[in-house]
Amino acid sequence: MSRAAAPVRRIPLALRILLLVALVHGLAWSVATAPLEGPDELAHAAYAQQLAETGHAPSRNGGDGTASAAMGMLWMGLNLGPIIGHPEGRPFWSRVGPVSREADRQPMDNGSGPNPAGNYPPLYYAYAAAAYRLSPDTGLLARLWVMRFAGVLLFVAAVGFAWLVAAELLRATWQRVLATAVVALQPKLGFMAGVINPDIMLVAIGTATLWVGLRTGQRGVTLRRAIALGVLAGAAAFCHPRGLFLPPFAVLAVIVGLIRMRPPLRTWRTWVTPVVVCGVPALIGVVAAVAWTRAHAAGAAFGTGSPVAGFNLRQFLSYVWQFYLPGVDGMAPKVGPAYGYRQVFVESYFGSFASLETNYPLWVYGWLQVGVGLLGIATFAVAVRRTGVLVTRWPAVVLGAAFCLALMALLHVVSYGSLRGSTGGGGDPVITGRYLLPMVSLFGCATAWVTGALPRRLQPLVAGAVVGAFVLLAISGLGITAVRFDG
Amino acid sequence: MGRWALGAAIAVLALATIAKIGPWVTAERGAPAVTPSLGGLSANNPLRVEPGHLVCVAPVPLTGQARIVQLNVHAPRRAQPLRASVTAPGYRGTARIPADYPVGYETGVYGTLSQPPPGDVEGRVCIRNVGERAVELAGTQEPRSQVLAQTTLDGRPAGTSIALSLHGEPASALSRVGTIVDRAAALTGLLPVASVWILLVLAAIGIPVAAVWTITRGAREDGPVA
Repeated sequence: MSRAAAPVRRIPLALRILLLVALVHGLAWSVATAPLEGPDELAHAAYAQQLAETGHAPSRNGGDGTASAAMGMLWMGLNLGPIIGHPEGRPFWSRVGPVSREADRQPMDNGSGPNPAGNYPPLYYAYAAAAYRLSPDTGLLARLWVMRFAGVLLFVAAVGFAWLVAAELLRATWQRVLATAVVALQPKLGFMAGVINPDIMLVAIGTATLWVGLRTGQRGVTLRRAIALGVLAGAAAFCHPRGLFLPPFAVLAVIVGLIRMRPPLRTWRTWVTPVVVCGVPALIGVVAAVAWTRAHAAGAAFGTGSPVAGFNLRQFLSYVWQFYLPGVDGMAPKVGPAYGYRQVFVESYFGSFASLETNYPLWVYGWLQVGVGLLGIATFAVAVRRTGVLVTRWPAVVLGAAFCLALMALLHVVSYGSLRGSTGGGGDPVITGRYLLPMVSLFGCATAWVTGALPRRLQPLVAGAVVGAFVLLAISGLGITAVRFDG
Repeated sequence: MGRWALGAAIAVLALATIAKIGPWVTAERGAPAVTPSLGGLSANNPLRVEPGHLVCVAPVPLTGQARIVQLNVHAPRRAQPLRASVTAPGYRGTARIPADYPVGYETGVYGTLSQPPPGDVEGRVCIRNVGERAVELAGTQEPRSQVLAQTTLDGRPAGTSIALSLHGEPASALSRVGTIVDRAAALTGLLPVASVWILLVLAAIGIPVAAVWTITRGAREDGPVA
């Protein structure tokens, strides 16, 4: 008994508590959000079910139905599909029993497509399919919830990795606690943990990759770290198209670690071997993801419909500028709708639950915008004031910046690709706040770092206030969502 | 130092609870009991109803909580009275919607049922224009808002779904916690109601206590560093 408990005891008490906070937070979201009401949750759940029932993934382009007959019956019979986007709509609670029983008598294996998520690589769906098969109850509603529970476990893992990232970047225990608490209480992350969606696996893998990358960059390359980085980056690519930003980051981390260690140039194997053992699994993941996508979605993601086809650098730079800042004279009008920093970094990063229609009151977003703006300005100011420290710790700075820039570059390229052909302010920007969540541990660390730069008397006050504010965001978001679906 | 962190966290939580969360959970508001037919998100295709004509929506999963019929009406010049009837095997409730709503734009109108449905039962909701001029009921033909229930006009498919909902009596979120927990548990298909109650307590009390405790202890352990 005591031997079994020993590894748990080695985990710092504060982290153990924060892992429990994350578990409760994610579980609460999994219950507060009605089934299939998360972002594109029908497509993701249908993918996992098809994989679990038949061993084959659905196609993006064709097939016998987006979802199985059973899932389709829940979708319409419980009013779950029609109420998406309708905050005034409610599920048919009184029909749960009969519709659920009827759904369980329907075919479960006829959701071969067309599925909008069909071009996604299968790693997350295989994980969710395993949860589907392991469900103690074979009813479809229960299986859907068990797949959500599997996502909650990934959230708990992400919080654990966020602690390790904080431990690489921050010295004081209270700063690590603050950085990790910000992750464990981030309401949008908790929400995404509580629905069926590969984003939560990308967050967990991305945070783990960041941790190993920072460790490699700061402490030097070992074979194990290089392999771990490669495997994680390859897994990210095989989990999610947005995971493609991680393979270059992993290789960069190895290179930074090598530069930090400065092995003699004549021992070329010392330089080449870590890059190869990192690059090969990462490349395998990328190639497998590309091959998978080509097999399941002709023309999408990596084909002629790719966002990088017909890329115009000048227009792209103009689009990125106007995403964050007002346009200047001589600049072409922004492609796409009036959609930018506030919508992505504030509203849908913290709120916009369910399928974006469940929101905090507007004044909350106003305060969050002020808070995020202050954090950005303060981070810049502290960086300028502590340039000497940052120069000393250049590997962490380079890798942290590269992680964020690589993700943002990928998101903006894809968004620009989607909007490129649109006219009259139309088009789908395909960039939303939850896409930023792989950076959430750096957001927590920035919060803790800036707080640590305040005058000593203010530090605990601000740290306590930040934790209090995040608790409020988490609980009020849960309350609003529970009332929206069940009140 | 931990004291200051504790004090700040408690101050933020207390202030927000008193100023915002408390009033929100205790404020009485109407809650949809069933929303069998929805309006459009991007397309509004109203249904014109001439005097004496009858619009029906069926099937509607009625619940015992339903007390008020709501729909959205546009009367171009003068408001027209409407009469709603809600029927199910062994049950008939009626509601008058008086002609006292604003005209010239789409507006929500309400009628209180003469008696609530007996419980969870499949039924039908019908609206008759008992006025002298035509009115338009808000509705949509957009595919994403289509529901199981069909809207008919004088017994024939209307080609559009009207926005219709039945509401319970106004009540606070706090007073409906039991109902919310029951419904949330049912929709998991797995969790017993008791476990959702435990989760609710852990989320509402456990999360704040644990989060505040960790930052307080962290601040006490090593004190802040510059």
